[in-house]
Amino acid sequence: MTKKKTVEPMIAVRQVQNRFGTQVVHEDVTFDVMPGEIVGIVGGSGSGKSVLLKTMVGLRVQNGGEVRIGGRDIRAVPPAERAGLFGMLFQQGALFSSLSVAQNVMLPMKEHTDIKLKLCKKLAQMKLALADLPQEAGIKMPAELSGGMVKRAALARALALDPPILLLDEPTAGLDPLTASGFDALIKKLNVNLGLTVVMVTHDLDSLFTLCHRVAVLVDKKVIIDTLPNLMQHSHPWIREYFHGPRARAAQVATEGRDD
Amino acid sequence: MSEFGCTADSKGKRIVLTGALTIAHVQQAAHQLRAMHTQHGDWQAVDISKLEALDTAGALVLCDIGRDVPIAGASDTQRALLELVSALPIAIPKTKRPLPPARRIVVGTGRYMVELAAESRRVVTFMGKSVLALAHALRRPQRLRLNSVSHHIESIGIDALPIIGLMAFMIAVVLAYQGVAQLKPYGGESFTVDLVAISILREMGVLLTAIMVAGRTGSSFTAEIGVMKAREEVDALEVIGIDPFEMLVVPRLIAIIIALPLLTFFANMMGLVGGFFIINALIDISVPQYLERIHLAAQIDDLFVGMIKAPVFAFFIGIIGCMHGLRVTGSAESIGRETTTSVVKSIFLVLALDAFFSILFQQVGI
Repeated sequence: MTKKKTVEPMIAVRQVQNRFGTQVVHEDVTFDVMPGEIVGIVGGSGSGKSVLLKTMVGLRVQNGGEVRIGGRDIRAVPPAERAGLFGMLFQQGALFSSLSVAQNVMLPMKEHTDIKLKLCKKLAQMKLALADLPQEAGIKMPAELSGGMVKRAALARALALDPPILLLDEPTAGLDPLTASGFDALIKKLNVNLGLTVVMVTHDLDSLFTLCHRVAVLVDKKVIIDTLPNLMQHSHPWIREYFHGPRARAAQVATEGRDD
Repeated sequence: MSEFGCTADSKGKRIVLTGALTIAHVQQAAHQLRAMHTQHGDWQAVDISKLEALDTAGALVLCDIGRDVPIAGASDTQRALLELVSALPIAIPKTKRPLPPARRIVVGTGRYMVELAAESRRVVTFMGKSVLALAHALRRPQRLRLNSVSHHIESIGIDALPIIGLMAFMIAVVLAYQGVAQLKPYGGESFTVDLVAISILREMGVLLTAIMVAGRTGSSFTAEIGVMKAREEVDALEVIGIDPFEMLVVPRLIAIIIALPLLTFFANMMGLVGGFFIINALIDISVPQYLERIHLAAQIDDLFVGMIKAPVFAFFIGIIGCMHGLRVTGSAESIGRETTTSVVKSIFLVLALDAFFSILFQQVGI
């Protein structure tokens, strides 16, 4: 999926600034995410990856600049509509601990649509199946799930309203490599089949190499966004180090080995 | 995006769907399609070539129809979506049916009693372990964590002084006020001093202080230890070779057993001061007269009866607080649950023990 001038960007981040007190996290962050694209966000710790993600969904009000979703300022979108626009997968899953997994998935549907309980239950089970969870997981409580299952259940909830945009905050962090690559495959499947636009903060180099069409690197309080091959050639020292370190090389070799 | 619609062709054999078949319209769509099915039961194809939008929710509805009737006119992406959704193994898992109310009461009561017995055993076990750890620590005082003890005494005792003082003062005000109002018709309002002094020293001071400390300190014991348990800090202690009992439970127990009697004494004094203010305002009594009257009314035994209960209450509040803290499992909500249980249980124990003490003192005639 390459960038075409004629296509309206799904998400447009323009000159966004973020400050905490006197500490400037983002100075001039500008980039576009095109429909159907998977964009990875990387950066050193403390470079404001999660802050950027939170700004993009309107959880955090930026100190300057704007975020536009489908041509509209994110803060002008009413909450109910926003829920249908984004699904967000939080780092720890953020499943509501007092609700069962199926109820977690049903919550956004119950709040924002007029779907009757019977169909709602069926839709919830469908989302769980879509996220590769066994059907019995629906009646479990979040505390009974393993780490990988929590992420899948959280993904099912993020997909509840069939949003066109999916935001993932470190989706594969804390998962074992097998579960992690299963999760990567799942996101790929959703991207291809449902045409989802995906923005993911990740440290997982495997995910970056296998999934992402483009990668946004947060360096020097700005964003450098490009395709991976171009970033590999980039002259910025941090980027060079990031993509030419031993782990990056290993991930790259592994990806090329199983490339389709 | 336009509303969902479905129309049948002239013969009623082919159903044409239009508009958006997405989650926003899916209930309406399912309803319309069902109505259409009862009207034209013998349809032979569903044409979706005029659909403007289709998502997974819509695909699920189509898949349900698709089992009986072929779906025509799907674009490549729509077909891929339909295949994806129809391949999903969907089965709504059965939740356990709740028991009928009558049986639920019987079963619930039985379970509760069994649980109560098990719980009592756990409390006694924990108490035994704590006493052992306490004795162990006292035998080897160099292993006693005095820093930790003094830190806890500060947070249990000194930090609680304002609230305990205020509480005791206010309770004495209420007692004195009511005492004067009730005794005045009989000309016995000067006995209010006896009332206030004896009730504060024997019962109110220690009881209310203990309840306050159970709410304030018992809960913080549970929460502090609970957070450590949830974040595996307790396991880390054990791996490093430190007994969590010695590190977490013993200093807290020692601190609360020292601090609660002191707080009780402070509460007693504040109660007497509060009583004086009101009695002085209502029946005009001077400080020497007030003290004289207290001296006549209350024996040293009355103070002693109250104070002797304080360390016992303290021990139980500490035990319950620490026990529930260590019972926290990995999840955050269990910290909240255990904290609530801990406070409720320690307040209940304090009240029950107080009743027990009353009977005991009555029997031995103090």
